[in-house]
Amino acid sequence: MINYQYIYGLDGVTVNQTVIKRLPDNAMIPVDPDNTDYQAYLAWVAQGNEPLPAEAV
Amino acid sequence: MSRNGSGTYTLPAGNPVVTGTTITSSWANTTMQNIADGLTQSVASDGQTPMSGALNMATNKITALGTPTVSTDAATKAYVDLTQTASGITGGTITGATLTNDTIDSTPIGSTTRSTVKATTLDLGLSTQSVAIGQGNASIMKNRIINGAMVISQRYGTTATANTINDYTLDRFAVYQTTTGKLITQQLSSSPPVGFTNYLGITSQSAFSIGSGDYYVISQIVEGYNAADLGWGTANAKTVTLSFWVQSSLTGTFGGCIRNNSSPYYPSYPFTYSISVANTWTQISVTIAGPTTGTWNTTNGGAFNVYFGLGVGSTLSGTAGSWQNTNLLGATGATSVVGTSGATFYITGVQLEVGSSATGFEYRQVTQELSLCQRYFYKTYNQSVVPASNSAAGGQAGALMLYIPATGNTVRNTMFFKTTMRTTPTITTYNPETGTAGYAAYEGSGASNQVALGTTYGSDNGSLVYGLSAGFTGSLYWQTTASAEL
Repeated sequence: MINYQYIYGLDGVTVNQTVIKRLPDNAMIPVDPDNTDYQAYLAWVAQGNEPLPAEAV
Repeated sequence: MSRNGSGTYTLPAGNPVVTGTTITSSWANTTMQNIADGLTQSVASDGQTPMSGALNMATNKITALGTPTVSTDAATKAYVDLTQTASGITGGTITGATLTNDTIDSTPIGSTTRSTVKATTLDLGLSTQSVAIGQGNASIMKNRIINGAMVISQRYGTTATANTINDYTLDRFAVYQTTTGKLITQQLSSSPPVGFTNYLGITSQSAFSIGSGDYYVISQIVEGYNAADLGWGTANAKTVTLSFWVQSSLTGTFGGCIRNNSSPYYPSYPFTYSISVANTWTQISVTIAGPTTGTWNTTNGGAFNVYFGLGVGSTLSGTAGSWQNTNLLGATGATSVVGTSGATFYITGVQLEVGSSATGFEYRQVTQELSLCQRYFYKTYNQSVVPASNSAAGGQAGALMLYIPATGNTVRNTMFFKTTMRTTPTITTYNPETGTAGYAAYEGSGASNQVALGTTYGSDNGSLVYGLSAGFTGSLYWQTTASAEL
């Protein structure tokens, strides 16, 4: 089951707006409409799914 | 007029006279004037009479012609032959709708004066092929398929792989399947067809009965930039020919499809081909008239998929031989490879080119082929090492490194890709020692032997690892893959 997770930016408080983490391979997916992994993420969200919240590193 | 328009001279009325006719001035003057007009209209042999119309030779030759001296003189055959030879044109022909300049200059290359030859077709008689300028197959980018000879396998090397549902196998070739475990893919090199060293091998893992909506296919998506000149979706759509070498343990009719990669995912063109002898390499050629409808990507998105069917259900199959406004992946009636346990399907030498016939395979240097593949997938590992391997020796070679001198330091690592990628890639980092994704190996004090890497940002030119875990000092090293596949 593919899942995704938000990640924090450098300040450790604000959620990063440019990258989504894909679990379980910990791949960093760019927020880029031409990236097919990001397209798959959007399709996953469109099905009503929600990424896991960011957690402190 | 003295002549009748076809050159025949006829005496005026009243001629010839009959016996007993009185010669009068009116008869004589009329007749003599008519004869004088006829002589005036005739050509004098001394050249004093200029022609007042085109000279119709009625296929007869002009013989004993002198050598021309000015540009308006007629030329003898001997003079024309001599001019051609002096220009270095011997044993060949030049044909063309437009051929400007009345001579072809024989000045050596490097001189300041040259003639220009403009022709729609220039046939130098050097081989049986003619080059149509601006049309047909160019010698560069003839083959729109990347890694058609199956020599690059960055993800799995030569390892037999049970691919996930939507997974890449050899570079640029994807496996799309509705259920995993029905087939394995592998780069093979034993007994390839003549001229090739590798092929993509697929082996069925079960006797699976295909449902109407099932699909098991091998596919390559051709990027829009590499298909823009085809003019698909316009009245000038170019015909293409798909050719490949194939071998199977099964015989019969097999199928595939070319389909628009953009929503609504058509037009689709199903095609079939026949394998009549089992376990024997056969070269297949399929010519497809370019589609004049549909909107086809011409930039960095996917223009179209080239599918090779291994088992496609009826819902996704169509009648072969025409473009159809339906999302299709295969051809009706095609053999299902996944329907027979242990069945094999091997393929290589895949080429898609402009034109109505298959020409020789476009071989590329391996560095060129690898570079083409790296636009879509890049790894820092040795080419011989499969990503996520835990081989210490192979895993460490080429690894990226960072040294953290003091606890709490902010660290960054920048890596540039070897070629510009199609778009911003998905980046995965690996501990070279364990193969664990998202981690780096660690040498130092204050932490275990691996630590989670922080955020990795990418662009189409490189990546940046930023904000690593604090609380320790020492060296970190990791491997990376970047995927910008279609």
